Amino acid sequence: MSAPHPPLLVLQAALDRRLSEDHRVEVDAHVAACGTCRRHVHILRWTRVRLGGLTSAVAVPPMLDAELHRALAEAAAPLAPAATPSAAAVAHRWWHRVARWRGGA
Amino acid sequence: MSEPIRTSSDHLRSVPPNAQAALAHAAGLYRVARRLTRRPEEAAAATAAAVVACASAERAPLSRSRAYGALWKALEQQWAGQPLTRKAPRRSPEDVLDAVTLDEAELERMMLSRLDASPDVDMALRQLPERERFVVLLVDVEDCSYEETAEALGADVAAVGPWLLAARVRLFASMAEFARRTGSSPVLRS
Repeated sequence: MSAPHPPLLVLQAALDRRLSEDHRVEVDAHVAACGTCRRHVHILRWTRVRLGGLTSAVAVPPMLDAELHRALAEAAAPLAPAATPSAAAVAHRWWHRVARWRGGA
Repeated sequence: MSEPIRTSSDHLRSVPPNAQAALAHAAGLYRVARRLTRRPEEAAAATAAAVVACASAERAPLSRSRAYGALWKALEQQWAGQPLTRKAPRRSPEDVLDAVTLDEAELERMMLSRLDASPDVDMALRQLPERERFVVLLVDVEDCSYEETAEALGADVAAVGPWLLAARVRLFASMAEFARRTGSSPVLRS
């Protein structure tokens, strides 16, 4: 009788190098002999690689850095500590400024 | 009494202790936020809230996981009162994979497709529940460890694997369904 398939969670742990060496060798041996588990490992690996290709796919707005500095300066408010706005309040105001900027672009 | 005059040195003294460290994480925070929000303004606002929160934190040094944790909190505040776009799936990852209807030839063609970013990946990501999306973005896109991801979510590290597996499997199923419907890999068509 063939060995039972390892759960997908274990196959993923082997792929992500989260298993002990002994356990990984055992899982690798099963995968080498089992078409179903090999297909599952290929699927998980392929999906992981596809996602890895997304790293630089989001364009960061060119004005983000300047606006973050402005938000930090607003949050600091050194001369009026009692009126220091929360991070959420600063972000809220900043959000509307970005929206106006985008609207005017 | 007259108002105190702000000088450039006042401004310098006002810089929060972790400001530079927080700013160093801004691009990564924005990248993740953009894929968890509908509009760029929302991503930018969440990034700003996270950067300000991190910059003001007394504890140093600022780790990447703490920065992502601040982003997650900012996003949760943004979503407060709104229903999340997706509920967690009830089907097990095994059942999701079993339901993929691609035959071997279609699967092989899909896997041989180019591996760069393409609309089908973004489309599939948008269909994930937010927490699973956050986990898979941190681990597979931003290259965070399970431990960093757990810290960012304030969760036990043992929870990361199941979330990550559910996300990867559902992403694959969505992309496979896209490929099946279009008759070819969506990447190859472009």
